Amino acid sequence: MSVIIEIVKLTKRYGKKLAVNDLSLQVETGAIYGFVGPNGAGKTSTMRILCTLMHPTTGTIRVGGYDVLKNPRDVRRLVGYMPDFFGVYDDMTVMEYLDFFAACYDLPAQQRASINTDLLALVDLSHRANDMVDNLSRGMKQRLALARTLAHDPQVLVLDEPASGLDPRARVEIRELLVELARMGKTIFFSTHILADVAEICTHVGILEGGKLVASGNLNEMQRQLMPQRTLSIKLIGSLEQAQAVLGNIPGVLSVIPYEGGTTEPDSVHLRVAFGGTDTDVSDILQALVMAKLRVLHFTEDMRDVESIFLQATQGKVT
Amino acid sequence: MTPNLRTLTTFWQTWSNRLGFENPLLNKELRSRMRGRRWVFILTLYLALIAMAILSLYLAFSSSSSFYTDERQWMGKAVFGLVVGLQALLVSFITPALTATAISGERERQTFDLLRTTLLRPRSIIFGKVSSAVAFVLLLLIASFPMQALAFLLGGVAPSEFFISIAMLLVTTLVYASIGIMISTFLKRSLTAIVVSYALILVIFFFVPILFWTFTGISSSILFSTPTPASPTREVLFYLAIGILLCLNPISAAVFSEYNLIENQRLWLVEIPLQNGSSVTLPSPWWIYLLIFSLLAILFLYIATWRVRRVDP
Repeated sequence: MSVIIEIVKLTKRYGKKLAVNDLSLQVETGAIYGFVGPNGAGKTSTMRILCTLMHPTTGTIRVGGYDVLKNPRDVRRLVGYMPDFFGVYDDMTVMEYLDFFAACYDLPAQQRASINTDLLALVDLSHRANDMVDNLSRGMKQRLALARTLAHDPQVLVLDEPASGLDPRARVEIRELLVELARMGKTIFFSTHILADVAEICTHVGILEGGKLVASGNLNEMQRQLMPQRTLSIKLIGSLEQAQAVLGNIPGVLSVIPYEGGTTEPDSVHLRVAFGGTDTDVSDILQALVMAKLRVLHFTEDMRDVESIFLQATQGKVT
Repeated sequence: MTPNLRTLTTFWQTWSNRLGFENPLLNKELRSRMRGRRWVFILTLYLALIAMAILSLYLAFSSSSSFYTDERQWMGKAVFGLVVGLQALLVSFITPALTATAISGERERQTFDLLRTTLLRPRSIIFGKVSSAVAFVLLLLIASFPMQALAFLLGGVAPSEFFISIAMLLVTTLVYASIGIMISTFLKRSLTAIVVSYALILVIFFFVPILFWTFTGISSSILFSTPTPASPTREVLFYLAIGILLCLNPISAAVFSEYNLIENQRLWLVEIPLQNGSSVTLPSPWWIYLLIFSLLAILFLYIATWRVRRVDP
């Protein structure tokens, strides 16, 4: 896989405050790269430099081989940028809005008409083409903004918090769109603090804190690196002591903690098991429980893993 | 297409592009502006104001005893002067407000960053904004032409006077517009940008006349109160200085040019008699005004473009 975005020793300083600190990372062509970090970690600064809106203090970024400092126009041609706000022009219809930005990218008028129609269909706004931009819902505006960034058919999409402030349905729609765009061959570089997005769609993740990259790479690899132990959530009918005895004998089990809180039916026990082992070992635990004639109601690996990775990686330096 | 036609088409496309007829920003601004009801209201109000002023002038003149050719000519001049005055007033009030919000407004709507990440060039952004403002003012000026034409019906006004007034109004509009947009690129908030633009215009166009009167008063008392006649060189230098100052304000430039045209029948030049009997010939203020302020407008637009091109440090 070839590298399309290359951030090289990037540093950005605002007065005394260091926003980005010697950041180096690479994004492969076709990747969905989730840029995760707490507020103020330097995500937006990095993206603004990438989109040629801001000069770095030192270091540089290359997009498709073009340097943001030396060839900003070539970079702009390759990049579609969606900031974390929606720029509204009142007095403009959806179609005119899209057409205006397409025209700003030097697309000839004859081409624009068909491109705009296609883009509106892609983001499912064809039925609102002649409505005023102002009257769209937030989710629709976000989809329109996405269509706008696609007007010049860029290879790289740089999206700053694309899912923030959206209701769950709108969020899912944006997420699906991103996956669809990745399938079309676009490289997507987006920032977020909604970890569910990262877990579901990203192929690569970079965790940023205090302007420094604290973890980066493939999500599964990172999980193994940062979280050597897995957490199992087990619910069963029977006595707590018996369950603890059975689980305590299994190699690899680090701790068994009864889960407090929530509605517990009589006779049912809810446990959280910290565990280090492979998938086969996980199934062995289940087998052991069944063999001991414990009635298992619920057996699952904890879904809050990405959050744990995040918390593990970031030490809360920013706040 | 024949090769000739193709060359012509390419020629047209290149130049229309260069001149900004295909400027997306200009296109958008014109469309949005004409969509708003506000501007229809302003246009109507402005035309009604001119109509009422002309009507009251007409009534005042026609009620006087006789209505001879000579008086009609004066009335023609009065109508012409009135309309030009109202046009100038309009230009001064509307133009800075139109462009002072141009860039700061984009910042406030958070669309400026979007524009800057597109391939739209900084000079196209400035050109689009300024030309849409100038085009709108031009529309207002042209809309008042029919009423201004009443002056020709009454007589006493030469076509050259009309063309000079249009040229001066256009250059003034351009200067106001470029001051507005230049200020707009420096300030974050539209309201402050408008206030500062008007303030700067006041300084340039009204501080200078005050300077002019002070200067004339002091130097003429020194120059002409002495019993011995002043040396011709000093006298010429004095007239030259006054001449330049006259050219720095549209009203003084226009009034003096008009006076020169009526009294001496000279359009381009002014002849001033000296104390020793000879005379000195200087250019008429109106075209020096056009020259100076066109250059000033170019300077302001250049600064604005530089500001838009600038990447955040």
